[in-house]
Amino acid sequence: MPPRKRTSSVLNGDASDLSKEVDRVTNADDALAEAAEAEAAEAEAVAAAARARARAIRLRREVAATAATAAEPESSAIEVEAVDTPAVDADEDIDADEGVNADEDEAAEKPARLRRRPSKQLLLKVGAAALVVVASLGLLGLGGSMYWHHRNVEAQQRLSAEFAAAARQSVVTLMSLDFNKAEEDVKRILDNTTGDFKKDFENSAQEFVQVAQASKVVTEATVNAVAVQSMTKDTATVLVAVVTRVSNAASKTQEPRSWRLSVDVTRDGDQLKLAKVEFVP
Amino acid sequence: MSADKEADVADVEDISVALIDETGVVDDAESESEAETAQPRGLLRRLLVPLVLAIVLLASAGATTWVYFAQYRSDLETSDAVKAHVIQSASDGTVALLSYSPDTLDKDFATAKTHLTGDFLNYYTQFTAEIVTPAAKQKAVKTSAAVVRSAMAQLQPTSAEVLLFINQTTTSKENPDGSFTASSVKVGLTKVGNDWLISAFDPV
Repeated sequence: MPPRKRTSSVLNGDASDLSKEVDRVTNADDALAEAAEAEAAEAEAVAAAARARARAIRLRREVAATAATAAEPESSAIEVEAVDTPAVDADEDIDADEGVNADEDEAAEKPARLRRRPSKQLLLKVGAAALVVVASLGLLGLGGSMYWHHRNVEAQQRLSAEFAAAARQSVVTLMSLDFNKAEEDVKRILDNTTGDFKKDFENSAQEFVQVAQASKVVTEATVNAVAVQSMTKDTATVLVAVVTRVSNAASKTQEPRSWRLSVDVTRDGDQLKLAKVEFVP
Repeated sequence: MSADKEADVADVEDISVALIDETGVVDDAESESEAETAQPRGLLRRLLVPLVLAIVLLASAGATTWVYFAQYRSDLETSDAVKAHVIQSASDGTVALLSYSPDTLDKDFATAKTHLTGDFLNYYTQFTAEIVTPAAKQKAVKTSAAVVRSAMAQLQPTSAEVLLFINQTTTSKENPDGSFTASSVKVGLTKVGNDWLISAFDPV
């Protein structure tokens, strides 16, 4: 623009200065705008970063929450399995887990490895728990059978003592006789005997009483030893060593006489009675 | 543009506020659950099953051990097999004790002594040496005993009492036809090592 240059230098200068100034002003304005735009972009970036961070935190929390809810039922399920059928479940877990791991190894190595470690620990735990449960059950079974055996032995010992006492008492009753109360003694003998032995004795009882009264016999029987030779629940064969002292009309007191008896004792109702008396030669 | 800018700034402020709120909450929740609830409860849950299993195992082992030592062991020591063995020992010992002939006295008594123990062994040694041997040699006494019936009177883990019915035949110069003796004997036995030896011998 020549005319502008030709005008006063001052004016021209001023003008050019002005235009420069204007330019400067507009340039400054542009710069300001640019700065503002840059600032806005920066703010947007910050906002995006903040949003990303917020999302990351939210995701992290969600993951934590799902992991916690997932872990809870899993552990309780394992407890139930361990109590119910530990050995079988443990085997099934191993099979299932190995299959999953094989697939995952090819697809994604890192997550598979991360997941495999706790499941292996779980398997170990379940296996150990199953072992402990089986061992405990085995011990309890063993203890229970020993306890049951001991109860049986004690019952047998009680039964044996019962048979021995019954045999001792029955033999004393059978071999003691006082002619003064012969009828009573015979009745007591009949009450303490059973079966064929009782029938035989009943048949000869009257004669027995008469002989005793006629000879004025008094017999005192002492049992020195009893031992159960064999027994079942309701009958036993018992050895009895007995000594009798007899006095009668002929002699005041005779020498003691030893007898070796083998008697059968049988349960008759709620009482143990003599079923057989054998003198061992 | 300035409106956008303001909106963006407002967004940023909102988000940062939200961020502060959220992080604050998250931090609080995490620290709380880790420090007070999750850690003890998780620890308890992790230890509960092993603890219960350990207690169950120890209890069952303890109960079984007690039953064994308090009850079952003495049952084994007084079983029917032991009973038969003890009765056999009593019978064999008694026969050895009462059977001798003048030609083999020393051997017979030596054999008999292997069935005996304690005071009764001392008594038998003295009795055979001082009384039986001279009499048996002088009168040519020969005896043989047989057990007719036998039964267990009492059986403890280390002691027993057996009732024997014994028949004994004795011949001598004076009585060549022999005499017959029927007797009952309570034989007391003691367990020495794995053997049951006669420690008492009481005719009844």
